[in-house]
Amino acid sequence: MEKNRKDQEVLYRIYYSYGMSICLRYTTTRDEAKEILHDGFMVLFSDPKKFDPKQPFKPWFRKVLVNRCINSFKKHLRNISEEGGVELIPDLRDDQPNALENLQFEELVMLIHCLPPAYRAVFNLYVLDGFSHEEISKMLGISIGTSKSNLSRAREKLREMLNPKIHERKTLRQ
Amino acid sequence: MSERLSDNRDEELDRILREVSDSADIPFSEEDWGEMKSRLDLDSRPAGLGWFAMGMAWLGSMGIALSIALLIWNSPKEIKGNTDISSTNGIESIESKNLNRESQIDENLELLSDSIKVSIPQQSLGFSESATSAEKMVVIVSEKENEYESNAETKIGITENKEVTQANSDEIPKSQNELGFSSEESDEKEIEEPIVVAEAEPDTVEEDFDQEKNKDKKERFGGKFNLSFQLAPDLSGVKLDQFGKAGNMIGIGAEYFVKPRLSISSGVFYSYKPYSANEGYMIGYGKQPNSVFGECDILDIPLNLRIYPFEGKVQRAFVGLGLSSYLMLSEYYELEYYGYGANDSYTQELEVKGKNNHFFGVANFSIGYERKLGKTLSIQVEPYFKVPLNGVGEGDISLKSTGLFVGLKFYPSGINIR
Repeated sequence: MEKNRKDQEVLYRIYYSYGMSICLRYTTTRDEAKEILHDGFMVLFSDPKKFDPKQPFKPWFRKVLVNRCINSFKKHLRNISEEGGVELIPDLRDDQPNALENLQFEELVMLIHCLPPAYRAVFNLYVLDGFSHEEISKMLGISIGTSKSNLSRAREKLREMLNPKIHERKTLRQ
Repeated sequence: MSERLSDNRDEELDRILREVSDSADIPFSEEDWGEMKSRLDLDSRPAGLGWFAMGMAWLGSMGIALSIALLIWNSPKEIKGNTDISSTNGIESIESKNLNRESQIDENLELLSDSIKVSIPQQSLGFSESATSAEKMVVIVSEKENEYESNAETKIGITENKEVTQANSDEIPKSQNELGFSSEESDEKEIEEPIVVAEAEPDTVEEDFDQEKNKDKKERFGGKFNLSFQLAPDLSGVKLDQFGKAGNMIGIGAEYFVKPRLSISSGVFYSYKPYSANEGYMIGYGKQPNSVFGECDILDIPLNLRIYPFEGKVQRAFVGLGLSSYLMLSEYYELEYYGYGANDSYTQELEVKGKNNHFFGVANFSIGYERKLGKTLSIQVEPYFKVPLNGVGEGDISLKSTGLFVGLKFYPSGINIR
């Protein structure tokens, strides 16, 4: 039992950062991200047979966490408006020409959190976790067209947040 | 051209954001590991209803143990009051005691006939008391039988005794006359007395037996009504060979006898049913998952008919048949889809609370065995099988359940232990 717990701690330490980085992108609070991360570890620790040792661990673990994040997202979606606007624009130093290149993970998370939930989910799934629009449509219960459209709007909003001045000029020119 | 430029810009943006995301280095939190550890500790405890179930199981076990202890404590008194014939231990069946008594009676009858045979020469020698004592013995034996016997064989035995006694009493004066003993008034009295007793007693005996029989009919096994506390390990599955992790059932039941061997039973039972199923056995979830793991909290309200084809004095067996209403308190499903695009599988979680109720939607089959533990208590074991008529839960699946109820039955009007 004790030995088992130690092995579990080793695994937890190794994959904590990796798992947390996924969960933070999908959730709105750190506590929620931690809960989902722990749910994911529980899948592994309580039923290790679910993981096939012949397969690489990271993609499997990512899939487990993303599934749980999506379920959590669906629960929250019932309570919040899908077209909820951007509430907080992170204080990115937009006067710097290379803002995107110097972007840190924390800032990325802040930017993603500023996206409406539906855009955020599609952007995370497609861009950062490598799912196809077909898969996303099935996972979120939306059409492929909606998935593509949400992704496009998510990108647009991110660009806007990353470089508001450039975006402003571009909008004025149109 | 502008579209291509836009695509390039999108790809570039995606690439940079992906790199940022992959380069995340989140410092390890000891506090988070502490929480994870306590969750693991909690998970290593028995599943199911947790402390509540454990508490109830303990209470049930204690109740059963207490009942057995009471039974053992009460048994010797019952036996003492009933018979001196054979020494018995604890919960030996009353039927076997009756057999002992019957054989004892037979022996007494043989002894009696021997004593009668012997008594004739004795009387012919003028020892009239011996005949009297033999007849007294008949009466004593009759009285003994009268106390605790209620079967046909015993009645025959007593009738025989009566005849023998009468025959004997006829014989005695004859032998006396033959032998010329003339003046034995006291002897005649002594002879007559048992005859009077012997003639009078069987009537009383018959009446007593009738009373016993009527009493028997009225208080056959227990009262007309009983309450029970029941606990069962429960196995659920879609197919009979797919029973996996065990669940449980716990609740209270009530039973009313509409006829001596026919009852209606009902109750309220909480049931935790975990199950898993493979491809092809779930319908109604929309997209067909390849496998499903489910956990359901159900309130089971049965309405059953029970027939008691076998009934002894301390034990009986029944066959139960009826319908259950399932109130699905909460349902949790993990639906797994294989071959899902670029990814191997996708798991969808589904949680439903209080949405699905199935009134009289599940058929119940059971057989049971009940044994008395005391005046108001009995223990019952009942293997059961439940099969939905139309499917249950969010997925309308044919969730079959089987298990073994172990319960204590309480008869408010009391059980007659003889």
